[in-house]
Amino acid sequence: MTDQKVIELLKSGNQQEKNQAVIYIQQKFFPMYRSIIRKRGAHDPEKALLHESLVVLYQKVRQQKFILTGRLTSFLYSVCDRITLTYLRENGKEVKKENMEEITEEVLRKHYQFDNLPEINSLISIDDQSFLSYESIRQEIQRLGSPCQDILFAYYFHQVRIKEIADELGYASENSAKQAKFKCLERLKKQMNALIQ
Amino acid sequence: MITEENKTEIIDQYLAGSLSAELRHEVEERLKTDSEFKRDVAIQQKVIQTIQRMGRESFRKELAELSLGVELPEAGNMPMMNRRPLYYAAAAVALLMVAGLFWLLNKRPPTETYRGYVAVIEIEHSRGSSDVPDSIPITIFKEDDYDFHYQWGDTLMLYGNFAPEDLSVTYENETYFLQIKNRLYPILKDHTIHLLSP
Repeated sequence: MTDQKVIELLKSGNQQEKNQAVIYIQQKFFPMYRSIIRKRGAHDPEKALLHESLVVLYQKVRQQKFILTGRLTSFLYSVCDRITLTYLRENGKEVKKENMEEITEEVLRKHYQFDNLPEINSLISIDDQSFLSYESIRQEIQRLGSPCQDILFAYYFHQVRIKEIADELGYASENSAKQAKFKCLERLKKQMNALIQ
Repeated sequence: MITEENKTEIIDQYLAGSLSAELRHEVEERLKTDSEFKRDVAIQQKVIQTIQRMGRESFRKELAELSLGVELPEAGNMPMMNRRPLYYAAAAVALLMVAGLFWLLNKRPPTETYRGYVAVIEIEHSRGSSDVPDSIPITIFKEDDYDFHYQWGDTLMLYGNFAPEDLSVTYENETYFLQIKNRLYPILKDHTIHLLSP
């Protein structure tokens, strides 16, 4: 399978095709991953660092502006090495999959221009920040239900264009899907504001 | 220029790094002086970051499940792709999907022409009502006996020759309106078939 084909499958939005690409990459990249783990002296029984490299790859590939300039395995090698080094700096040599999110966020922000704006936390009070914890926002998002959740995940996580979201989720038009996304986001913001006040 | 109407969209583009230089400057100036706007931006950023984090968590679970069935190559070997079982699985899934689609198509009434959603647009002074849904499921039927009629229960059912791209629903003064091109028709959620009339 060519690199371009793998990227197409990851971008396709079809679960079967995405799985096919993920299995292929895991198998192809595994010897490289193992050499990084040995070189850095880590012990990763659950292959958490391999999986985390695929999480970063997926987030990058889904970005509309992503362009692969070299080989896919070379890109993945540098992702995996950065994740491994960041993990080892913060934790011990024994890798645990529970500690991965902060590592990935740091690597995405520092090395892959992801969510690269200044942290806006400093602009709001400490009291307000406590209401904006991951857990409280997650609960509000889960309360939204379908199709709101589907739209927001498609747009902000899978980075699908509004036109494709309208087609995939069966909205009558692109404008209708755009309005729905706007309303779902507004509703969430209103709920978060209510929590703060 | 940032208005109450376009604020969320502009913040969205600002956070995605895709705002024009002029608007970006306006956002950054307002962040310095308007504390309510600052909080609005912070909340929107937190919400988007949370969605992305939840997405990553879900993807990690998928990876862990997928890995259970993956045969990984030994060091120094060429990557092994056990393609045949994957193709068999893909073929089985495709067959199931075709069978499912066939079942679904046959289950639907024969005259159904569209099934999907329309977003509900709230007119500015009506905003804030928490009972207004974000989207309404709609189904269109080509029906000669009840041409240009509707029935709204769980789903808004439209009978007639409607084009989905011409439709939208607005909510104003506690009334829902179906907008077809530029004409508004008030609609009632009472499970009864009505003629659409302006």
